[in-house]
Amino acid sequence: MIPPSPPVSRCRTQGFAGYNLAWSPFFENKLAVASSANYGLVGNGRLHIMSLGPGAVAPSPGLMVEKMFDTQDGLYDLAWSEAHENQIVTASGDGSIKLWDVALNDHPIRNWAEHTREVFSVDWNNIKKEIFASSSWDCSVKVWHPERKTSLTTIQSHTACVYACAFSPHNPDLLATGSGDGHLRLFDLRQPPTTGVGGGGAVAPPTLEPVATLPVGGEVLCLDWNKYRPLTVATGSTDRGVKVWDLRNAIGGVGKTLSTSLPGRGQMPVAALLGHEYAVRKVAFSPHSANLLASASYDMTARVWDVDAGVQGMASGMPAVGGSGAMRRVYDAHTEFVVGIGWSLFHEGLVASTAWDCETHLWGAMG
Amino acid sequence: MESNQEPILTQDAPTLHQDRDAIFQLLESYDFSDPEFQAGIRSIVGPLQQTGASMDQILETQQRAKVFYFSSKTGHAVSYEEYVEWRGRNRDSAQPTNGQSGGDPIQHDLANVRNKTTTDAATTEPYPASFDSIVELITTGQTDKIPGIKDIPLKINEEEPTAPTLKKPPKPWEKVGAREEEEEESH
Repeated sequence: MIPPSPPVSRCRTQGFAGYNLAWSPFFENKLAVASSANYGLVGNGRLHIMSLGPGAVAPSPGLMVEKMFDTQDGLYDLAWSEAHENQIVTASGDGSIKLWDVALNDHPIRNWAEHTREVFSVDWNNIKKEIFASSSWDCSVKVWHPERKTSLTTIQSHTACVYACAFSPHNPDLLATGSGDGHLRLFDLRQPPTTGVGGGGAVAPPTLEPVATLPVGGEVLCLDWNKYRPLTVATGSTDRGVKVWDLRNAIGGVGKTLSTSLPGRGQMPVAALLGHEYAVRKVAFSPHSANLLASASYDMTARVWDVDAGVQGMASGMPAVGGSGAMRRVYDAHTEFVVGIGWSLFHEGLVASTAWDCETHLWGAMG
Repeated sequence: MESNQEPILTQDAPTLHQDRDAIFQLLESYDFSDPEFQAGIRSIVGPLQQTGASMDQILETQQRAKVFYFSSKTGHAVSYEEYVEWRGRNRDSAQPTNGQSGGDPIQHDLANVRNKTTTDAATTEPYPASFDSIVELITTGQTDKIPGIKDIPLKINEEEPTAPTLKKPPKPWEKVGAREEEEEESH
């Protein structure tokens, strides 16, 4: 194992526990951090816009807070617009979703209040650049347009908290979700809603049904798509596992729209990366390498994995465990839960992490 | 951190003490603000809260942890069930302990944290408040006692939003020749 080393740079978000971060798709030295006072249990939220000072990555990038926006309730997630360089959307503990123009001050430019409980995840579509998705503890998933007053679509087919949602980077109509019921689901937004049969034979209102449902284990807290391998998704869950799934194995057929899966098909991960000592709170595939994945955990560490080593381990009947070669780096400079992680889109191998220790760190994936 | 937590888990059965009332009173006034307990309770309750557990569940978990920690540290064997039963019996007859004398342990914790904030700020930058005391204030409906919550009414920005001016650079995987495998679907 590689010995611990200090971050390349760190930035305090005094009084606010980090919840997640996002690198700007437009500016190489800009990132944003969503945070909450009092560990997100109660109290205010704060959106931090940070930048790396002159000198870029080496030797001293000087990560610093450029601007802040305060909110009544804690902020749990965020996503930059893929169409507008100044826009960013945040997910809030009071169920609200806010759109910010970071060139302005103080107040959001939009506010939506359709979710009835904590919004835990937001994700902007990388191809259909005018839409984003949200998922909530109210069991619903919604798709939004920044200029519309109400959501475009609501998916009602989950029966537990939906902790994560993410659009495919290759197909704008595919949306994956991770839920407290322990399943990873794939939705095809081109499909018509189906009228299901609810409890006691009552007819449920029409809603979109998943084209694939995979049992992950534990509660699924996070997921991310591989950027180079279509239909490959990683999950992180409360069973401490990081798992990689090939959804091609799980969906029935690939035509104009995807058809519902056959039971039992593709229900096993192609890799299970074990090493975290507590629940895995975030996973992120590298934007530059098909095989690299970063994870953040309640065990106060972030880790970098070589997924291909994990796949080989799985194929030989041995899930990759710490030391077997799949784990490339353990980053342990945080002193609290590490809950947010993201790879720079412009500096290959540069990772940012944010934690409940009220710090955001920059570090190198390979040490 | 692993080595610090070991002793709690491997503690031998503490010796039984006769004066139960005194022990329970000791438990009630025990100072749980030490870093070892605070780190432990965060790692237990944090994930619970994050996964949507009810406040009742959180409160019970927190109380169980306190009883367990108290037993391990002091050697006074107390079970959670026993403590709950004692609390129930004594609630009716107990004197209301408003203010300083008996001392509300939560207020005590918060006061400690505040003091620490002012005295140690330059050296250690402690947490804004104890996680445990925040949980207890929430579960007992005393969120008004949590310091520093600002009232920020929702207001939509009256400034004219900016117009997009930049073309988004391609993502690393969108650059020519970056794709490792052919896509399954075309669109």
